[in-house]
Amino acid sequence: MNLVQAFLSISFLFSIIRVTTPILYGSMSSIVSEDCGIPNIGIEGIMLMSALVGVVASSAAGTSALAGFLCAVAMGVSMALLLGFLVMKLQCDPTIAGIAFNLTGAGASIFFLFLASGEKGNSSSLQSGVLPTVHIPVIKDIPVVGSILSGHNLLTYVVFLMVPVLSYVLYKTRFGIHMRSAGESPEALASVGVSVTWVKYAAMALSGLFAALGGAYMSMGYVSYFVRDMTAGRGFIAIAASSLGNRRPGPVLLACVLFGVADAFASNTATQSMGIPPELVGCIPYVITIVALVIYSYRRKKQRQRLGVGAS
Amino acid sequence: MKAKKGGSVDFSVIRLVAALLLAVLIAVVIILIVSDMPGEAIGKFLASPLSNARYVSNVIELMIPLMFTGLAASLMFSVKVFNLTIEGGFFAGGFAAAAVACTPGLPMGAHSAAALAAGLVAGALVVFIPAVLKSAFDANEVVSSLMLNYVVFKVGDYFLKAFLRDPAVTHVTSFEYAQTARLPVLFGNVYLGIVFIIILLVAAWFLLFRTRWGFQIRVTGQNPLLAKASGMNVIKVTLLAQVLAGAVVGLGGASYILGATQRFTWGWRPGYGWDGLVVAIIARNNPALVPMGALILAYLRVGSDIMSRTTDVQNEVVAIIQGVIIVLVASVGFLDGFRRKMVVKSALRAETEAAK
Repeated sequence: MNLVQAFLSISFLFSIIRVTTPILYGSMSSIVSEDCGIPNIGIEGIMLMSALVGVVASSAAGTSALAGFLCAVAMGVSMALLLGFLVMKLQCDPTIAGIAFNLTGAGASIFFLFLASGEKGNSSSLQSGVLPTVHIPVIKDIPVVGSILSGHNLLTYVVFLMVPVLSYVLYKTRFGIHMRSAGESPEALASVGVSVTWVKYAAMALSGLFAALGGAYMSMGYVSYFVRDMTAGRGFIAIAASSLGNRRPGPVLLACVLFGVADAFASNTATQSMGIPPELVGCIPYVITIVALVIYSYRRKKQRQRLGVGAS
Repeated sequence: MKAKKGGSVDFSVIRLVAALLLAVLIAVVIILIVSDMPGEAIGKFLASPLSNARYVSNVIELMIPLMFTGLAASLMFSVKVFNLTIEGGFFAGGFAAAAVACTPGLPMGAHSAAALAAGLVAGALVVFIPAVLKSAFDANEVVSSLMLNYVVFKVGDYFLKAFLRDPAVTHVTSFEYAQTARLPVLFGNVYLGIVFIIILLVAAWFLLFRTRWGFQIRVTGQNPLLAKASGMNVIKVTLLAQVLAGAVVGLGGASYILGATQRFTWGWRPGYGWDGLVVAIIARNNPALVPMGALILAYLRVGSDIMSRTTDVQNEVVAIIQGVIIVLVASVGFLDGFRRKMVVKSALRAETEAAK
């Protein structure tokens, strides 16, 4: 059958890796922020602003991808630090602050896009740089596997490498343990003489960094320009993936790949040529997110009831 | 509440005014930086909505959907849930009403009523889904509602294309609504929806502050443990508040579509659902204050639209103002140092007076 062929094809498997990348970055941003006790709902807005800043800065610096990348990172980190400040210093509800970030990000990115390019739809009139594509030596020469695994954007390799790294940092290093205690029992952390505030700020900076990398990937890797609302809910899907994977990098990776498969399926030309309306195919990633979330939450609820705790 | 401790003035009012002023100030600074004609832009932005009767009627017209979504968000926040399908519910309500309005054959009055009822049910259904997923399966409502919004938009777009599309028009849009379904315009562009929302606001205020159900809603939101301990059915109350919010927002979408548009356009995203969150935050979830929140936002919106039409500053600047307002009004700690000073001062004054 044509369809089976299409979904086992090299290009389809390649595209799964490609579309999983931004979701995985968003999930890491979510893991770190939830672990430190300030759930970052504003990932979508941070990704969007970083994506825009990357393109604008890169074009201002004469299509330098590095300049764009650095400015995108600076944008993401400062937004996440601001979120930390609002929640810790001004006692703002983190969910409300996150919603504000998303709303403002959606509007402000268009406002600044217009300032930079004179257009409100996309940045195609700007000449901006793209982060390098990597062809892995040796692997790229292996038939099939090479064409699937090699030739991705640099940031794609970084994010997959980050999965074991983050796992190590969170569970095996002093900083990671501090970060998780800052969320779970800040009193205990303070009692051993560690500044909870500074640990949380460090965690938020990391959360912002991951979101920024996801945003930079969107506009300087996934495609080479900025489009309004280009994150299209990936920041939210990422939060769902992080909670499905119980905030552990390994399982979260699996959840992200699940959404990546759904996304790749929805944007695959074979699916689109089957005669199923594109609007309905476009629903698939979101429906799968809801279904997976329900199954996961229900199982966790049952588990808690069995253990007899948290009878909420 | 804590805010009352600030002496004779209710401190949350001071915080709201300060947040608004700061937000507008930030917008002014941005305009000064980006515009080549900052004086004119700022003038248009802040003063033009009052400059003629048409603009005033535009502000009132825009207040209608904002009051609907603001009331819905207030009900939602009253039980402390972040079910964000207000946006999707408004769309669904509007779409269902449009579908009925495109179907001719009903008499005047009955047609509008049927379309409004369809909108109400559609809105309530959409909002009910994350609510029930939360109560039955403990699924995080923020994530499920955000995902559901995308599904609702896309399914609506599909239905429009498949069933309601007018082939005589080049872009994808529905047939023109039957005259029998339209809501009458009262003055300017202000349609009958304003009467509905005023009735709803009064009813919601009465429900929240004068009935047993309303009391339960407020206690559940402020202290769910207390509510549970005193024998209230917290799950039922939470669901009730959300379904009411869904019905309000569905009716709002239907009223907007029947009162302010002639056709349903493909790819339409209301945005009023998000604005409703801002309105509710300004109104502190009190239906009586929702019109004030809607007025502030509508005024800024109309001002910025006029500014973007006549000068070089784009109307998205309002998104920045909105963000600042939300964050500062929702921040308990904003101006906290100032509040403490006021408390100390009034305590000292009371002391000296007592000593006399």
